[in-house]
Amino acid sequence: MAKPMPQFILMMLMIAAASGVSRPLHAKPAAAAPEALNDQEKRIFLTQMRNTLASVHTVKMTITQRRVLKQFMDELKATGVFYFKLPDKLRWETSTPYKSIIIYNDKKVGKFNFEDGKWRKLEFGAADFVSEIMSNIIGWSRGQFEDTEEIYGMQVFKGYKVILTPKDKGIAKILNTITLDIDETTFHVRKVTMQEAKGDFVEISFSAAVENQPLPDQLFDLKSPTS
Amino acid sequence: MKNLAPMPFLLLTTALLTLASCTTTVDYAPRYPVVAENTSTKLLGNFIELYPREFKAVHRIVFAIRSREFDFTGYFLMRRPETYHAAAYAEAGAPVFEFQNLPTKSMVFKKPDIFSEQEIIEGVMQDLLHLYRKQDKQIAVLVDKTPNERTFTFGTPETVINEFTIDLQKGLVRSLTAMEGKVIRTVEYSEPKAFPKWRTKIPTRIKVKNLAFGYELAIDVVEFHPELPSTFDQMMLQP
Repeated sequence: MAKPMPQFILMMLMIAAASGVSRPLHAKPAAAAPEALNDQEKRIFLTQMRNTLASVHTVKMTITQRRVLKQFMDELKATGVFYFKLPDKLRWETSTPYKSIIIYNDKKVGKFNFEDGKWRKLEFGAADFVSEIMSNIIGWSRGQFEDTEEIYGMQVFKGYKVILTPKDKGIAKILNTITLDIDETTFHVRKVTMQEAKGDFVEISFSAAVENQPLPDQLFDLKSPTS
Repeated sequence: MKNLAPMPFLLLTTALLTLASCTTTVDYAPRYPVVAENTSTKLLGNFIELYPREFKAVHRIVFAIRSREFDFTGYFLMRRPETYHAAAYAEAGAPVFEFQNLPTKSMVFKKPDIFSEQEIIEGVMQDLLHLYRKQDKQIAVLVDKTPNERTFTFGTPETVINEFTIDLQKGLVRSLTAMEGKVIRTVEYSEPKAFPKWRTKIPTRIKVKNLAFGYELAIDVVEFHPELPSTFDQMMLQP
């Protein structure tokens, strides 16, 4: 059975990518949070986010992921492109330092690896797991954070910054917080930071977003990942 | 349901189990020493020192097992001859594996439930040792010599033997491990590449076929750093 922590991490990354955009990377994750919104302000924020993002039917953007592993003294940066198309199509394409693609289309998942100069579809072992996640992602990417309230405490701060804190002690041993930086005007997620208990973190930034441009269905072909 | 006679049923069960585990056994043909010359001696020396005493590597890995494939990014700290610490993360950052090998013991800190501890300790962790352990030059035996290749073995056929074939132009090209007369692992190496601060090209595409456990690893070396920084946490390579 899927562990909640990795599942949620993946989910949050996809949500961010599906909704979001642009700010340069910062050297450190999760800066001190500003003033927290009260319950009423939080409800207004979520409603505004959902309403604003309802007009976004497609998104294409550049993604930059940093994984910082303190113990391994490593900072691995990955770059790629993300595509989202309503009602149910996602494509996460990593271009450096390696090439791979995840495609989600109509509740099915295809995973491709670039090998020997061509794309090869994997017999992806985690397809059911990822498909289940993806089925929730699209709704979440529209600002429906309350769906996770049973598992994660949620605070919203002016700015906007959404900080999710695991309620489960087992998860909390691994994961401290998930922080989403959200644009005050567009409500796009600009950056997601997952701060792990050991001091490691993953940070995803989104830039060069193009909204509501036609995205051909071939981009989401589960059999062949047309570039 | 029809009754199955015990013997055919046993055969069927055995056949299905064999198929299910995808394991195959291949006999290891005995090898005999051939006379070494200067080229062989030089190649052996280069092979023994193919990797630095300490290094850090980042791998992109596709793990194929039981007709399914899993991909992840692996982080690897090595102190030769055989101490290392490894961790792997899924594409979006979720931790998947973490384990450590010391001369005296192997420890698994994290693994998905679908993999048994035996598959990790006796399979993957031994695969990594085969790839990166510093072999003992004193027990090397040249067993094959062609115009383009030299093959060396380390160990004894009665226990465990590791065999490495080196192409005069391409460097390390393939290897295998045999145990008790059976080949349990084969490896193909390709795409040798130079990295900063290291004198030798190293293979960056490595395909491991573990016959004992019935899985394959396709490994691409994404990063290679031939030293560990002074701020390195020594506990990562200690008990």
